[in-house]
Amino acid sequence: MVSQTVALVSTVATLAVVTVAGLRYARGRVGTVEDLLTARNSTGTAATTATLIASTMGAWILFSPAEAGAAFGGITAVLGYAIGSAIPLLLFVPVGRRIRELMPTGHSLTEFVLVRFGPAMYLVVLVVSVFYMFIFLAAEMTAIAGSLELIAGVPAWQTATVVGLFVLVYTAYGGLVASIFTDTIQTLVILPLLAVGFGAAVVSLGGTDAIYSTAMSTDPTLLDPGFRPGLEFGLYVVFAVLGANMLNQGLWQRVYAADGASTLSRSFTAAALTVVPMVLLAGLFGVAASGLGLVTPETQSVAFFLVVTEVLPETVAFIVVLLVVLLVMSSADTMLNAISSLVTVDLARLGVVEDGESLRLVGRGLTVAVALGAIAIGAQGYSVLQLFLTADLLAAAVFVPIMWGLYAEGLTERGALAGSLAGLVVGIAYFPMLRGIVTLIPGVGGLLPEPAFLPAFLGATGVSALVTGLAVAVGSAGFEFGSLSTELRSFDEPAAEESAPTGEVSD
Amino acid sequence: MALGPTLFAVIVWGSIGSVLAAFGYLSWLLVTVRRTS
Repeated sequence: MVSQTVALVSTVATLAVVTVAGLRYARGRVGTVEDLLTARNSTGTAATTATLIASTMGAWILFSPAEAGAAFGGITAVLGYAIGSAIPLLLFVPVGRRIRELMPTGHSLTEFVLVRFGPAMYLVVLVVSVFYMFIFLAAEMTAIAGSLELIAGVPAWQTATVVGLFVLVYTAYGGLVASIFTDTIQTLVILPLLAVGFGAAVVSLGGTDAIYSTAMSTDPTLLDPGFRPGLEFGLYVVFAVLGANMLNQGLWQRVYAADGASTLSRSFTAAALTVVPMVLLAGLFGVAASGLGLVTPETQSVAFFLVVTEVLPETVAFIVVLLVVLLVMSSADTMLNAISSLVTVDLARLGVVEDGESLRLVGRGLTVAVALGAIAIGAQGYSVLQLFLTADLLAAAVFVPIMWGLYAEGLTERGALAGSLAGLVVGIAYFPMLRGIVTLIPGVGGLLPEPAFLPAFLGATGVSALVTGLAVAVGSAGFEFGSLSTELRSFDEPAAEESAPTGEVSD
Repeated sequence: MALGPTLFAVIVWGSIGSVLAAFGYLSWLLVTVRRTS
């Protein structure tokens, strides 16, 4: 085990270095609320790729994929998770290009939904999107708190407070500009750290042959690519991750931050190709943990850390501490800025806050409020898996009509709502984790099918797509896509720092 | 039918190599842009 002092000192040092770098970079570059929230057309391929990798790869990759490998179907489940993590990034290439074309001065997906469909669909998407992103943020805080408690015995509240406050400082001050810059640094440290740390871990475990033999002797299904539970998990996790990521405002912000359509395509593709081996490596630790007999039903969610603390030398454990801190910082700053950006943009859109200076203050104030909420939840050590899967299910039902609405003129708000609600009804009917709540509705309990994740996620997305398709087929209202570019305005009003340089986050 | 040990090794070391390749690609891009700007 790494000593508590070493873990805390190295954590604070890492946080301090990144925070100072973010503050120094953002100084003089956040002149307007647009810089704080959008950083429009400002990042090249390297910075966009790096920020996408850093934003999507949080500390969750050290928990969920390993748990999948240990308990949900071995290497097949891990492969599904890895591919599932890449698919949303690839889907962002066409839909990101499309939304930039339709609303070049836009800021968020909810803004598109409000203008394209109307207030009812907007409210549904806003609630699901903010719920998902807050859960992501709280999960990251819980993950870092839990990791340092496992590796070095640091109390959860200390870790959550320290990490949350440092991230808050540079995100509230520097907004998206600081987030993208620090993401670039973090990715350049995370990638080699991950490769070297995992390489050292494989060698410490006796090499791939030894890991393979141990896993085969303990449970051959861990390495069976045809293992049915693994295939099922690999399939539904694709839909879970896809829906959630399509409602992730952090990714939509980066669609606009890219300095052109070709940068967007290159960066999202490169990021998609990079996250596959990252998730795969983390997941293989779960296979190794299970093979080594370290995992029990109570400890399967921390399978990765069981290998780190019980088998690997202290130097590798120390690398893991740094890795966890960087992974958390890079995704927490994205979520913090994304949530505050979403609400700020909508307050401006609805005319609640008008001038640029007030908007900037609101944006920073919201960042503080969201961070404090996430710190409070992170320090509790809750299991956030249930909330995460619930948020994923809601997103899986809602994202299809939105994406369809980018292309189909005939899709009305009623059609989009019908698709979303139909998907939600089917998804919730099968969803194991909401069964207790759903059966409280009189007369419903006896009608429900056998609970299972695969039909829940497949049903949510599939039925949503089916009903949306029908709505498009029968819909007659032709939406005028040209109105999107005229109804949306930029908030680019120079504020107090108007003499400062522009907010570019160049490569 | 389980994977063979060779395929397993390819997956593990191939993933580690791919992560390093991504790091190399990003570094190369950053250096290239710095030089040209």
